[in-house]
Amino acid sequence: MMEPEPGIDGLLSAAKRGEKTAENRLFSLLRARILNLAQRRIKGRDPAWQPDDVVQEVFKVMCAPDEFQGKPKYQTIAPDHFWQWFFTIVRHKIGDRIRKHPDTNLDAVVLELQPSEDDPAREAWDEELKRLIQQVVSQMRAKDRQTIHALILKSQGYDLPDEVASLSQSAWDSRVSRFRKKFRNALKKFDLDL
Amino acid sequence: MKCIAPKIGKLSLLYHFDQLSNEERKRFEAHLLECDHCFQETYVLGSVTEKMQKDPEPFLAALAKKKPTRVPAIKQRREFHIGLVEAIGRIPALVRIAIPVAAAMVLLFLLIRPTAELSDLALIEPVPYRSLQIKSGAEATDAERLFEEGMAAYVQKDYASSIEKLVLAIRHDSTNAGFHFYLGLCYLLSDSVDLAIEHLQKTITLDGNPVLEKAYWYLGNAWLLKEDRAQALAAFRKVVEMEGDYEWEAQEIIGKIEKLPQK
Repeated sequence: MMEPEPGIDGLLSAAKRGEKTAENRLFSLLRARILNLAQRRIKGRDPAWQPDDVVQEVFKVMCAPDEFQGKPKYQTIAPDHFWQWFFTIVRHKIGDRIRKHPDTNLDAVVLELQPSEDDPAREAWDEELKRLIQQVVSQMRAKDRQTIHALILKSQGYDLPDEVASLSQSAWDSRVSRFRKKFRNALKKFDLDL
Repeated sequence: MKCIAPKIGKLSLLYHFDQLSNEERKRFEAHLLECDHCFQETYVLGSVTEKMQKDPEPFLAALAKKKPTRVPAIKQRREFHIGLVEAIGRIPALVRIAIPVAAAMVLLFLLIRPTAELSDLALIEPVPYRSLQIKSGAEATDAERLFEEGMAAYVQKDYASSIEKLVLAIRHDSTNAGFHFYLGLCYLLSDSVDLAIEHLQKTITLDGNPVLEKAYWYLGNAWLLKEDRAQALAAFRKVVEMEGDYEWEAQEIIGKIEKLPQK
């Protein structure tokens, strides 16, 4: 019987223990995902686009030695925070590539153009993104707005409105699942597309 | 590109809002290594949902507000009847003898008229619109410029001005489905239902149409306002066939139409 594929926790732990096979597997899976993502987001913007460039730049950051322990950085990140950390690197690297090319349409609001924390433009960018998201959700239909409202409330630990609290688990799951598709499509219309 | 394991992929939004058990979260994160669809979705949704969770108050406040909706015809009639009864109360005593008779007549009227009508089911809300970025080097045509001006008015809910500009845009280019769609929608939002139907039907006939599903959805609603059950059902069934954004609503509305007694 085939062994189930270990998750990110399993691959990270094995890589930390020095298991080369696990490390290779992890990087091969990540490479495929980054390539596909970067191709979609950079294609048509950058005439000098080499698909593997972003992958190499991301891996360089991931494998740079940690300044305290000297280990590759990706091995020092807690598995719970891995994806958040990883997506931040990918976003910055795609953003760098977009900025480098003057023919890129910088007026379009893209997540990759997020200025760094200490950049004075960061606050304005944050506000613009917040305004856009608010516009997206406020223009959704009542049932969908109720769903996102409930999701935010739940994540903040607040009580839910009665009409949502009384839903069965399966009805709630189905509502969230349907909302997800609509939310993606709505974001796409506002340039926050996939 | 589709999710390779939809049963796990559907957990995506719950993952972003920290609503998964530890086991589910691990399964979803393992899935991210394999599935391009969910990987790309997480890349975008992660930033968006993070923003909502870090500073939730403005979102919660905006979402808690009820959107203004059309007052259903049934409610308007009810308010009229209530007003009538109050007015009777202010009539001098001698005349008030007529009140029981009038009340009986009102009661009789309420009993014999149908309890709900097709137009009560219509759901008409403006679709979001944001100006598209014009790529470098491409000059906007007169039609596109007029369209953008019309849509600027549409975003401000100034449908009369929007209609003026969109009509002009269509004079320059009558083959653009988007122009006809938004003009139809503006007419619908201005209660000019016949004109709305005309332009929504025109939208549907045009090729390469990115707003086809929406056109059928609003056409169905326009037919509801016209109390045309068969045309409304046909339009909503088209929406369901397309399996797009409005599929769920269309199914619901078809169910409600079918429950109403046929005249």
